[in-house]
Amino acid sequence: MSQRSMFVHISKDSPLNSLHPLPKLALMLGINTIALIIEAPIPFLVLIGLVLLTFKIARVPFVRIWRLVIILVIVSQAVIISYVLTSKIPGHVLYHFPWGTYVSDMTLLFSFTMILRYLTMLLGSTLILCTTSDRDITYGIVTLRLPYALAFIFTLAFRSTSIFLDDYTKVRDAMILRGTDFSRGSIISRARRYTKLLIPLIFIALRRVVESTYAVEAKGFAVTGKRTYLHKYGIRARDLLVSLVIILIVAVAFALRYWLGILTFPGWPLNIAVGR
Amino acid sequence: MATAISVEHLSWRYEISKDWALQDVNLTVDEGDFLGIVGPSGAGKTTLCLCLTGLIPHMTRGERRGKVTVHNMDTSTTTLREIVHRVGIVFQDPETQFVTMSVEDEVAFPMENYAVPRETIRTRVKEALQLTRMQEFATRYPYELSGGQKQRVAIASFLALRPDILILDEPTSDLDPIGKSEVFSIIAGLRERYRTTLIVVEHNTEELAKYANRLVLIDQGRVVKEGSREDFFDDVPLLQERGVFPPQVTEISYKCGSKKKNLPVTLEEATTYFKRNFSITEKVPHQNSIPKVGRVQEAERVVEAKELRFTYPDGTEALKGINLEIRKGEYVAIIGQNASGKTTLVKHLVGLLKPTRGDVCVFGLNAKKAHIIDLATKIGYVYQNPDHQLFCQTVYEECAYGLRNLGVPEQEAQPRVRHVLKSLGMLELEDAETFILGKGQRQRLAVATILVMAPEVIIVDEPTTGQDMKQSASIMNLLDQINREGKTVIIITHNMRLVAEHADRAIVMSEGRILLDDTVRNVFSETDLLKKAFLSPPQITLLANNLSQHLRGVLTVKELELLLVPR
Repeated sequence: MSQRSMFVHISKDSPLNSLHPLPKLALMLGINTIALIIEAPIPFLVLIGLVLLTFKIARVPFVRIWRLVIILVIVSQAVIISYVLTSKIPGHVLYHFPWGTYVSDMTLLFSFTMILRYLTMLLGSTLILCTTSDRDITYGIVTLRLPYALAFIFTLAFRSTSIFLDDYTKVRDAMILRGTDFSRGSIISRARRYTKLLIPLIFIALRRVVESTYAVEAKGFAVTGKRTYLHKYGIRARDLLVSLVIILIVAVAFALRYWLGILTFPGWPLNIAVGR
Repeated sequence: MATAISVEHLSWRYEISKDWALQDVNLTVDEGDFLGIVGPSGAGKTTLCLCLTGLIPHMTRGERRGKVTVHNMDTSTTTLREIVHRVGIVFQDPETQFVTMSVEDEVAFPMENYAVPRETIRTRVKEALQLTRMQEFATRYPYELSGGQKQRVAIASFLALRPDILILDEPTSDLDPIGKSEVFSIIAGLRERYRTTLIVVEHNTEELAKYANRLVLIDQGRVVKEGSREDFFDDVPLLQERGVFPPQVTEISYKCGSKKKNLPVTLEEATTYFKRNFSITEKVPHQNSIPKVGRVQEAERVVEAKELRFTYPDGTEALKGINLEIRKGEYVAIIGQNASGKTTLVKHLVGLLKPTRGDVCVFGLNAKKAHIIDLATKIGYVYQNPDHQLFCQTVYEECAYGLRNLGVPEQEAQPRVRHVLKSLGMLELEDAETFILGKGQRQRLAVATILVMAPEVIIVDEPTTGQDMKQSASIMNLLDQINREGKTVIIITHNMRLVAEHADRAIVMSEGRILLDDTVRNVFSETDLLKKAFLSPPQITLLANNLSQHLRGVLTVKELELLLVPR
């Protein structure tokens, strides 16, 4: 049996899927926080290995990771350009720029480390979104005693996004079938072609908004007032334990970076090699 | 019997419109009634439904006169939440109604909103899914279900709340024939079990005639005719004039018989009536109709698929080895249940999808390698929903768009656009803004945008969905004309009457495979195989089959009319 998560179907008996939404949200925040704390490439590689192992344990198809490659390539380009052109990281200098900055072996290593940081954050967020349904988010928000309307708006927004993307594909295909070549011409002419897409998309979206509003009202939705829930999400000892372990790991990462300096660039074990 | 709904002198005008959408409507619906509402597109049927649920005036701005009372609640003074607790409404497109990401959550949502206790919600979700035969899909993602299943989920979500009145606005327009029947049998079951009052807006009068006990014809915002199931369909010319298809069995009874009152409206009634009052001529049925498939056997091969397979990225195997040849000048209908692979197949023909395995050739060009724009000049594709296909400001600009992309100079483009617009009766609208056109006009414009590119093959996906009789006829006449000019026409449709009256060849798809590929006449003779594909021949074919083996393969009212003689 499988269940639809925010991104993909995963096995319902996957260990991560069976957790309460709160530890899942804590895990996503935890991975991203640790990624921001770490500044060292080797610990990053260890962390990425652990996240990938969690993908395997959670039975999330690895195909999801391939889809991140395009995002990562774009991010990597930006990271490399910005660090190579603007930083002055001491090391074996490879090239001096006329404006006073230079590229050293450490610049390249630091750029690589930053790419690993973004990769970790992308992987971590994908992992959670692949094992979290809209229902999890709703109950997570409700558990935090935030208004249900907030959770509902989130769900509707997510649902509308997938419908919007579907409409976008249909309209774009219809334009291609009438001879539009989106890959040809200057940036301005391409942008002009894309603006044509907006006209039907806005028209369709407006119609859908009206229909959805009718549907929601017809189902008796009220922003305030008492409501009940089909599912009961109780926090079990396991959920608390996982949440505690995540908090503990974040605290340890913090200590390793700011007290012991092990996770500060270039970090363990490279700091031993370069004598920092 | 107690009154469930009372509409007194109701008129409504939307804030953005000068015209009244409803004018002096008077209507009474008794508890436990099954009221069918028919009428041409734009007649005001949906507006009336919105008034009955209180969504008008609570959620829509406009001017209202008269009064609507639902179970003694005045809809203008009672809160919307109170009204919708007792009146459920299922819209035409179930997808826009889904607010959660699993079937059981969707069914539970209205009850959660009314703070129904959890245990009761559980019981009612189970019961509603059982009643709509959706229990095995409880944890599924609603968007991945077939059209019929989606509509059943939408019905279940209101059903669980146990409304006194359930309104369904064109609930079966996107469904295959068996899916349509299922939805109707389920809602009729509700009426029997809970005495739910049902109001159903539908273009498909054959199903309405089977289940509704009262019917109303609305046109231009007014109630034109109201009657019981037994006498409503008697005035066949009036219905046709107002853009409504009467059941085919009623139409033939009207044409053949001297009886002009209480005409048969269901297949069973018509079978008894004709067996008792008519004999069958010795003429060989359809002797004058030569299947065009025979005439085009030697024509140029325009489309060819060999062992075509396609798997979507999520692993869904949509096409499982399709072998197909279509020749120049053919008029082909691709039919099959929802999600049988019809649209996936034609997307390969136009180059929008590339085969996972196998090959597709269009005019000898391998669609796998050919540039989509090269294919666009040879094969055109009209979408089911014109909203996805129109993106220019005016009608003229819309038609000229494709030609400009192909590099056709303006002095050549202009006469081509005008010629196509004229043939569609839209020349006077060439400067009109695209988005103010009515649905029928938008559908015709979508066809025009493809026709103007002069493709040799035109594919039209569900050409008449949600259109009334006049609009449907206008589009189909146009496609017939194009076919007579020697172009190949391929339609994808759930409307079997359309297939019988217009196409020469039918390709039946089921679960990604071609189940049958033959002349329409032969295909509609295979009733058992069609059932496997969730299809059913047109009502007139079923009637002919019931009357005599000799009449097997009759496709139209006109054909059967020639073969029946009053006793």
